[in-house]
Amino acid sequence: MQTHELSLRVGERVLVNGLDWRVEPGQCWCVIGRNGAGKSTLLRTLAGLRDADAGEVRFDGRDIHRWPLLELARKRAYLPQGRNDAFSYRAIDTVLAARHPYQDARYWDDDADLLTAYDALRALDVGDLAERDVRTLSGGERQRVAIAAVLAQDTPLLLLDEPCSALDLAHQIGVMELIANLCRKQGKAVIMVSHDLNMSYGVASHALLLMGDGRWHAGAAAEIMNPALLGACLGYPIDTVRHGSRTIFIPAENRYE
Amino acid sequence: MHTMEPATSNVRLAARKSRGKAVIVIIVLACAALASVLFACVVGSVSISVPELFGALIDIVRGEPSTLAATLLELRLGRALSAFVTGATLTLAGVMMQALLRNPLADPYVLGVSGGAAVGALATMLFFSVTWLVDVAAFGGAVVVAFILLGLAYRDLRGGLPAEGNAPMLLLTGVIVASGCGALVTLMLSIAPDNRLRGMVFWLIGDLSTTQMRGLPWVIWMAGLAYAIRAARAINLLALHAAAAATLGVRVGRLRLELFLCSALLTASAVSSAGSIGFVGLIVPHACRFAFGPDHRLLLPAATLAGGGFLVLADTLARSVLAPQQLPVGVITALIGVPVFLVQLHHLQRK
Repeated sequence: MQTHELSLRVGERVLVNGLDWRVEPGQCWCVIGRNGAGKSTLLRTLAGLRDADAGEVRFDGRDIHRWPLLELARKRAYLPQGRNDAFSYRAIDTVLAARHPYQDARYWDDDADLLTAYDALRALDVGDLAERDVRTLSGGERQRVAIAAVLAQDTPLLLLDEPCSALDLAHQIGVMELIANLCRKQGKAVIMVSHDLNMSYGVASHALLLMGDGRWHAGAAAEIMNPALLGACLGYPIDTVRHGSRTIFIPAENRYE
Repeated sequence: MHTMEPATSNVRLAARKSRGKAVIVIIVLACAALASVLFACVVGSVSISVPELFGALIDIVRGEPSTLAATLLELRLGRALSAFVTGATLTLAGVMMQALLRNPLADPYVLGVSGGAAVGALATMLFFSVTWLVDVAAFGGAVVVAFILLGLAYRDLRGGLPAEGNAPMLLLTGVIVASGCGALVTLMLSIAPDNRLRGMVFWLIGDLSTTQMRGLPWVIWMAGLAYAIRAARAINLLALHAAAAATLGVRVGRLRLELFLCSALLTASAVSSAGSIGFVGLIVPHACRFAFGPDHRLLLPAATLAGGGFLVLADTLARSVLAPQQLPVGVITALIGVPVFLVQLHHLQRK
């Protein structure tokens, strides 16, 4: 996937200006920025849900708006930030729905769809919730079911808008481990929005920083995620500490203590 | 951990079970609908016994309904079939409208399509009083309102929908248009002469006693059902994900437009032949969703069969409870509908 001179605006505000960006298979990109910096807008544009204000998004060299929707649905999956369940579908139904791009003229789900769906639920540790009404699930459980649906869509590119929001610590790490495996073992590309710098740094191979005024920085995580740039990006001074072999980002000052 | 073998066979079983369940549900509901029509033929101020029923049926098929039973049967069968197609059409429109607005509390009338029909029908009753013209005017009124809505909320329908949107523009526009139609209806009722008032009120409540057997509603219903089944999977995705269904390959704008046009046409068809019968399009989809789950692949055909059968029974009640006095069927559906709806609503809240 690549973007060419991509610009995003909301009203008069320029969120992203002239973004030239390439995402290769096996890479895990983390999009970082302040609230309202345009992270979700960028992801929605990449998913094709919103038109770019200038430039284009290409997949395999072709503008995404020239792709047939069903074909595109087999190439990239999108996890939106929030969910609003109007009807009482079972968890397994929501995951099975993600098999739509593969079902062609079939009316009912077949065994392969069900196997994929149950595997996806189990991968997110929600296999036992398959029969539950999604509206009765807790926020974190619902989030994991939604990630399972994205997984079941089985696409080479995954666009994840805050996949770890509402998850407890153990499941945050579980999801990060899953994402790392998808990229490193299965060669999938992941673009995720995340506010947790440390969690992101552990899994991301690359980072895209949105500065909020149209400027951006893209590159390998090890180069881009340095205290100076991150501090400018997030609007708060940031320090690093070493813990064994790990680098931990912390706020440089603690004003409330 | 799960071993692969039992998991696989469990899944096979689950796939077959859900398909088998759907087939059984559809067959049972179809039989129930048929039974309700037979019941409607037998029950009345003069009851027909089952042997008489078959004799009369043969007479009718031969085209020479000479006996009393045959004449009665012809009347009752015609009315029962009208009731069935009206109920089935309203329910189908209700399920579609609920999916379109992503709101299980929507009904076919929420956007004012039936209000337009009422304005057309009542205006005709007030100024012309030609029976067949009433139906045409009702249909025309419904279509006009549908196009007004389409014009006002086109952008909302075609897309430009917020990520988690529930179509506020369309719903709001529809509700306002509906209340405008309501004002016109009230105006006409208040200036109508007494001798026409009764007919107008009956039309508003929904009444099947003057309905004639026609082919067009059947054609519209079957076309609507065929479309619904073809689009059922996409409708599921729309109900689940709203605009984000596009990332799963659904052309959301087109689907929403089709759903709107289809449910408006179905509503116009039902309302123009029987008046605005309330609650069928709200209660039956609700009850079916509760009983069979929200999967539209099963829900759409199941609800439409159940809705047809329900209205046949309600109409049989309407004409036999206070016989020879005939009640408008809309009263019966509302009297059944209100308590059922309240119980369901509170059940939902408890969950």
